[in-house]
Amino acid sequence: MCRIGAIKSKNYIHPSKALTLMRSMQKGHDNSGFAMVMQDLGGRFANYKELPILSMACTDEGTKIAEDILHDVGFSRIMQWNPDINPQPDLDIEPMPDYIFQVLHYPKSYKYAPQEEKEELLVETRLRIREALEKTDDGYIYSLWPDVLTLKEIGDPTDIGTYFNLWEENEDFTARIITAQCRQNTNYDIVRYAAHQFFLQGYTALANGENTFYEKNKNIQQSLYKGYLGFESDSQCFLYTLHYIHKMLKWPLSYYKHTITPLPFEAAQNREDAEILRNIRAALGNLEINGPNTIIGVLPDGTLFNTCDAKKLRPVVVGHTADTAVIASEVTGLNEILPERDWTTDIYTNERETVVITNDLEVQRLQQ
Amino acid sequence: MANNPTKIQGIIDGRRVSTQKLLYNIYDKINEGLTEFEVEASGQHNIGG
Amino acid sequence: MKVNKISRDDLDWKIAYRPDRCTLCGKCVAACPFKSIEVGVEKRRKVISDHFTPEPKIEFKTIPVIRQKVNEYEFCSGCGICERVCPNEAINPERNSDSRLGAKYRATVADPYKRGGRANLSTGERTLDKIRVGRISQMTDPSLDALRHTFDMLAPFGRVLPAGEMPFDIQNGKLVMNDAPPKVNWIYPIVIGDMSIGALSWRMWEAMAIATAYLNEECGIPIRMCSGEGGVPVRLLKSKYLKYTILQIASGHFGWNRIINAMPYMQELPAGVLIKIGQGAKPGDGGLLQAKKVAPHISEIRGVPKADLLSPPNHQGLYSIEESVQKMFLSFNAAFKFQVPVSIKVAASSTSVSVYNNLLRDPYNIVGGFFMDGINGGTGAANEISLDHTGHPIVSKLRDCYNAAVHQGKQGQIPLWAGGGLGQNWNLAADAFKMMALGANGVFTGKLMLQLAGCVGNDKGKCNACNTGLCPVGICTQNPALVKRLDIDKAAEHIVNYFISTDYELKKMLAPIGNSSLPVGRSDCLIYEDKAVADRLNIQYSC
Repeated sequence: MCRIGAIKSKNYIHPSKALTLMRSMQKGHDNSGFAMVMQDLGGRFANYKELPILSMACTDEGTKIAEDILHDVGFSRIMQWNPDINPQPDLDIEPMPDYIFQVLHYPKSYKYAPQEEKEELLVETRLRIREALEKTDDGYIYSLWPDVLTLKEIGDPTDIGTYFNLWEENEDFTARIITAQCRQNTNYDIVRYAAHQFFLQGYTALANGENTFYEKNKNIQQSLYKGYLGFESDSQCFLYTLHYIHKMLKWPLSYYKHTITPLPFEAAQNREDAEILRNIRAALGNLEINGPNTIIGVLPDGTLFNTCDAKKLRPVVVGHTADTAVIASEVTGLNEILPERDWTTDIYTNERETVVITNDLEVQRLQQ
Repeated sequence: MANNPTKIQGIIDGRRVSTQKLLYNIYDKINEGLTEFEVEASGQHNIGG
Repeated sequence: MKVNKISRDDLDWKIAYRPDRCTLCGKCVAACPFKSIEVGVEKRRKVISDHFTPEPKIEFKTIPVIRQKVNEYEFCSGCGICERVCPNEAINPERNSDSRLGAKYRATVADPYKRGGRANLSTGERTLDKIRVGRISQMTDPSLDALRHTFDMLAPFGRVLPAGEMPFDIQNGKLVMNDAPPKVNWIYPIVIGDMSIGALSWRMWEAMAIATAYLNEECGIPIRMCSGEGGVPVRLLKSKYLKYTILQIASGHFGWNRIINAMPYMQELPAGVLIKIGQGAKPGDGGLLQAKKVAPHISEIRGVPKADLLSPPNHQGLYSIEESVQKMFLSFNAAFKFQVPVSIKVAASSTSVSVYNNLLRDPYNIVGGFFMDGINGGTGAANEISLDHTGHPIVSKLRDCYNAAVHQGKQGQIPLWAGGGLGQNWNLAADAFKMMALGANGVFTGKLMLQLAGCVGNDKGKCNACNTGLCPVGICTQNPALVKRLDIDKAAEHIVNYFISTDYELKKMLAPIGNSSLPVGRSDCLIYEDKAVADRLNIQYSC
């Protein structure tokens, strides 16, 4: 099993909050890993909002491979941050030699390039580095995107926190959005790429559960966009569909739900938008999902949302205060970090809704 | 009317109109009550030109 | 003795007759449509004694008997009607494993042997029966309750645009239509068809039409029936039930005069148009309706004289695949103002993937489906050589076409429908499910409907006389006396009941894999116990 969580706040928060959120949900996962994506960064990254940040874990050779490629493309380094590590013999962690978080300048030739071209460049460069690292098994590149940091590791989440000194709160290493997940992919081989969250061009998705339409989704996704690859986990399909609907097709977020868990034909036919729904179902039937799952997603603009499978087989709860909203698999996680909230306003996302948390912390419930 | 058939173009703005579109243009005119057409076709199916 | 003459032992079936049980009621002779048995007399020698001490006497008697005819035209087909009508179990056909009929017939008649039915040469284990649903939802993704869960079982019939080409605009955060996309009808994933009036008796055809309407109107199973080539009764064309009918056009264009003349009176649009290019049972051949089946009403409905009606092997206007898309599809799309989806049916072939690849390009968005028919499809009349020796199994070819679409990222855009021997082992739901998991959007079934109605033939050479116009159960004949044997209501009822069970059985297949909707492309749930086949179909090999 897997547990997921997300925190979105008006204030900058430290990853220790995410670790705390996940700790009490431990009975629901197997202590096999910890991963987090930090978006809308504070601390030492606060002044580089527009610039891409490279997140990778690799060997020394891997560092060189990546730097050569970045240099070749024309990126230049502005700032690098390596977490202070705190190795102890009894920690349950399988660390990589190097963890790199690097702020980069776009190549000079991209100075006046439109946003889309820059975005494509980032994806292409990341894929190039990924391919090169895979060849010699020298590491993993998780993200290359402005204002985003990714950390994924194998081991006990508490120990991983200790190893990276993440339990100690400080103002150096913070973000307004942190999504967290505690489990390595244990259905199959443990591969770091198979661990949630999945990230592409500002879109983050993490899920608790299973997507039994994996093969069907994958078969169509791999021809939709070059960034849809890997497929180490069936949950990657959730991210790619989100990216496809929202970024490629530019449809409003509410159509994500209509795509992945379409209304039954009978329920759809009497609606005003019946024709739209029918056409979506026809065109995107291969992106429908199945199986028990709950999905947390983050959009490039910082919007956080949650939605579930159509049979409501995986629980999730959304709680909030005036300045912080939290989504977690179990309410214990919420109680841990938002004890002061009004729990009567907690939302247990139903099978036909998308709960959206906007940047001004407004909580919307979009009914399908 | 007989002396003044409705003109339907097979090429609009330098681009060949698809058979479907051209037929739609004819259906629209028929629905307006027109019965006589002069189609300047460009090889559209069943029409020629 | 004339050694060259055909003998009883040359025939496929020998009549087993038990004179001691026979009451000479004559029902069997009257019922045999092939006139394969007749009443005759035989001389019998009998030893009797009518004294209280034995005084054997030899007596010769002439007694009436039922006898099998032995010639190349009136041979027994094994249909077993004699056995059915006999009140005393006095007569039945028995399979003759030493038959030489195939040689004798050709050697005498100098004409290819013709029959109906299916390929009879290899009727062993079917690939579909060895495919199992091996992925069972248990722990993380629970199985569903087939009885109580709501399943969504509809398939698209029509050209499906990719999302990026859908005519959508965004207004106030909502998608709205800015134009009409190609017409898509959502229908049950099983189509009945496509068997013509002519090949079938009007009663059989009507039974299917009644069953189709009933399933739609009363059972909530939105099934469609394809007319077959040969026209549709005007009464149906003008009725509201036309919406459940897919009209077929084949190379003979039979019946289309009437259809076109009825257009101004149609209350509803037909469910679709199916252009038949070929069929699995006799690929490369056009339809064949032998003159003996062209009764007056068939002449009328097809608009033809009483003669052998041979649909050409090819459509006149078609000389390339591009041509087919542009001309035939456009013509039929235009005929109903682009409001009725137009699909195409071909016989599965080694080249099917090329054909499908070409269709997938479909720049005009007018190809509404690709129906592929495998070698085990049935037919009402064909040269036996075509039935047994030409054609392509459907399973791997369907899979190839699906994979080709996946390769192009276009799966689902031109829906795939597969048929040809589905339901051959009486379980259509299992076959349909597996074909869908391999990539079909839906399947079609024909011969099984006849078997539900009372067809006595099988794939081991029993009856198979659909071509003769002498169908013993009134299904494939226009002979008024024979047609009367078919109870329309019973036939319709059996078809309806069968689909009610099939519908439930489909759910019983969906439930254990946790699927609420059709399993199209879910080959991950299939396993196969033969490595070569598993590899060929790209499904999991299990042992």
